[in-house]
Amino acid sequence: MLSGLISAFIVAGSLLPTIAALPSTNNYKLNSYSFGSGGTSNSSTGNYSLEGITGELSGQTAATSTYNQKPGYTETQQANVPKVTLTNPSNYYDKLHFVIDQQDNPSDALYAMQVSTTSDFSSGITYVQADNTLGATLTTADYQTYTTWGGAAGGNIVGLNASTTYYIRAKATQGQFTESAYGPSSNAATVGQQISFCLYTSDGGSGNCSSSTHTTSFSGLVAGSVSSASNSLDLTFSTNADSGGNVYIYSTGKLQSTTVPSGTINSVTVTGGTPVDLTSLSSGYGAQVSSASGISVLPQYNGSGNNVGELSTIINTLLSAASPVTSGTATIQLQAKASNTTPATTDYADIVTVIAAASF
Amino acid sequence: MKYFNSSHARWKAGLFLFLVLLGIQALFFLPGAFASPLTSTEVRLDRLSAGQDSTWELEFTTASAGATSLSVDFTSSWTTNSGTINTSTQAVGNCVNSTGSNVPGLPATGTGTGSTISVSGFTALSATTAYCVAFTTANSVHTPTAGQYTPLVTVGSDTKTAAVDIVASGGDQVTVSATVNPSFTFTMSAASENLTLSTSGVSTSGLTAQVSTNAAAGWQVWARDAASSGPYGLKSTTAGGHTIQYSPAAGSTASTLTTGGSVEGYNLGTNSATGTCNGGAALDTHYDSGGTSLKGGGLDNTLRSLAIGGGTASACTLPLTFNAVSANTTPAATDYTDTVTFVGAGLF
Repeated sequence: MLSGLISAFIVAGSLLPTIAALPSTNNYKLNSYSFGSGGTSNSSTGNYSLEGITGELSGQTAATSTYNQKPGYTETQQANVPKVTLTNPSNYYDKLHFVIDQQDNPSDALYAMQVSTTSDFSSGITYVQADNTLGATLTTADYQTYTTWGGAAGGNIVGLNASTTYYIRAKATQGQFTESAYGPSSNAATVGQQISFCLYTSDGGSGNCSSSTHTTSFSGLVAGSVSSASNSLDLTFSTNADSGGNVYIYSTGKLQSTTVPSGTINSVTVTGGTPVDLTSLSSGYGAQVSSASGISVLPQYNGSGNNVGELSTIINTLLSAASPVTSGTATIQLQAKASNTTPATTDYADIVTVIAAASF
Repeated sequence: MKYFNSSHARWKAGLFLFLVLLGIQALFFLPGAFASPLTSTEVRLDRLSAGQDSTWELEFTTASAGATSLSVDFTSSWTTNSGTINTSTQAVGNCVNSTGSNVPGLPATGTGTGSTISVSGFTALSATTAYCVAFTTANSVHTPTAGQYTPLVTVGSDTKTAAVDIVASGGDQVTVSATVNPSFTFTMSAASENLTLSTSGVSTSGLTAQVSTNAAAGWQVWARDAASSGPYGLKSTTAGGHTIQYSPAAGSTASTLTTGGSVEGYNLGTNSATGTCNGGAALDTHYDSGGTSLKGGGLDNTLRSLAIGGGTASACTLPLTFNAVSANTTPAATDYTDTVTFVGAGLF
């Protein structure tokens, strides 16, 4: 607590105005001056220019590490005021995209960006940190070159709140020039976390994802032959979650007859992620993703022909994406095979559950 | 005393000023309080159907180290839309089939209050590490009406808002039905057998009836003599129509033929079935030889049951043996013949 007190006084002291005999502002100080004959007009280098006129004193120069006075008329040099554009290009909920417009500043110019949740920057002030997060303070490490801030491609400010409008503006500094003022502001809004999932069967189309009765059937399994269910299971999946999401599948693990207790067609058992070929089994039951778009199929369900993955009581990952998914789709085909001792009956049944979750 | 009071007052004033300045410093000069975001945060309900009890799993990757508690607030929109949180029991455990690590020292239960489920008292978590916790009470949560909900996940000081999509009631399931067609195959190993009779007796070898069926209630095999009327047995045309009759006669318990030439006889015996005979294969006592040579039963032109299977069968094989013994007075001939019809059927 004592150190806190001391530091408070120190900081407070630093805010006191500097008392000097010679003219000064916050950005420059005139160390000395005198009167005399003029020097050369309009001399310049890459980093400064001299606006001298005849009649002013020549040869009287003075410099410190932060300014350089030349004879004649002295012009304060500033980096050009940069612009920055903020957008939400893809339903971002925790980040926004910025691109700096250098406004002809040289490549070694450094830029800092201020962010607010109010359009007039009256509150909620933060600064884009070097790691692209927002922080309450702006340090020299947070001044970065145009290239470091992503160049023409820009970069993302991360760690933002969902469903929030952010305003951003940038300033620049270059070499020994005075830092520019903040440029014009740009704004964009994050959206909320989103996930959308729809399961339906091929006979009803995507419009029936709100239906409570999805059905499919194996109308007549013949011993020794692999059959496909009458309707495929189709789904759509979208999420703006940064880490994508997963679609899972599970069931009771078997086609079970009610009237014949011994009537069971068990799911195949997958080991090592390799689909199981039903043709090599006397009987079995499983699922295969016959097509998918925008989301990857887990290996055990990515077989062809009669190679299927398991439909067990364990919740298995069916589809997976490591980044946001836009209009992901998949079609799941169920296959079954009865053995010559699988009891003949008409009431085999299973309930397949397909769920989705997003990884934010 | 007065001096002391004055000093005490100044001390209090100094302390007050110190605290004010400390507060000002914290307000203006210390970094802002930004909670670290969890990453890869997934709330996976095991049922997405509206109005459904559900277990669920929580996966997350920590930002900072040291968390010893976590909570998931399903938020007020969950509860105002008919969703509930089990406030009596919240069993927690390790996840199944997850790539996330088990939470060390995870207690067996958590707490449900309002719209929030909390678990505390586990061993401090590591930073930037993926974990998974399963909430295994069957009605850990009861899903609300269809729509999107945004539970807030808090692990120690790290937070993340996730999202779940609740679908229409039953919309996350597909009912699969199936019919298995009936099948039945019945195969005799041979269409004819040849016997050379003697007074010491002779039997056929290797004759079988084989059944494969998916009839859940089982199957049955019968036999009958093809002759329209008796006497039934091996009949010779050239021997004046002499018939070596079944012994015993149809309907009698299986018996063994008498050898030695005093009497002639003929019968059909069965023995224990082999192969896949689910539910067993019960042999009819009228024909069950029990493996005894020359033992069997008689047939007539009525279907006589030989065996009954208790369930489905795959190549369930029933051994059949025709036995015959000639007597000293049996007319010699080469055309003794009998035709027996075997029938099998599944009990669907």
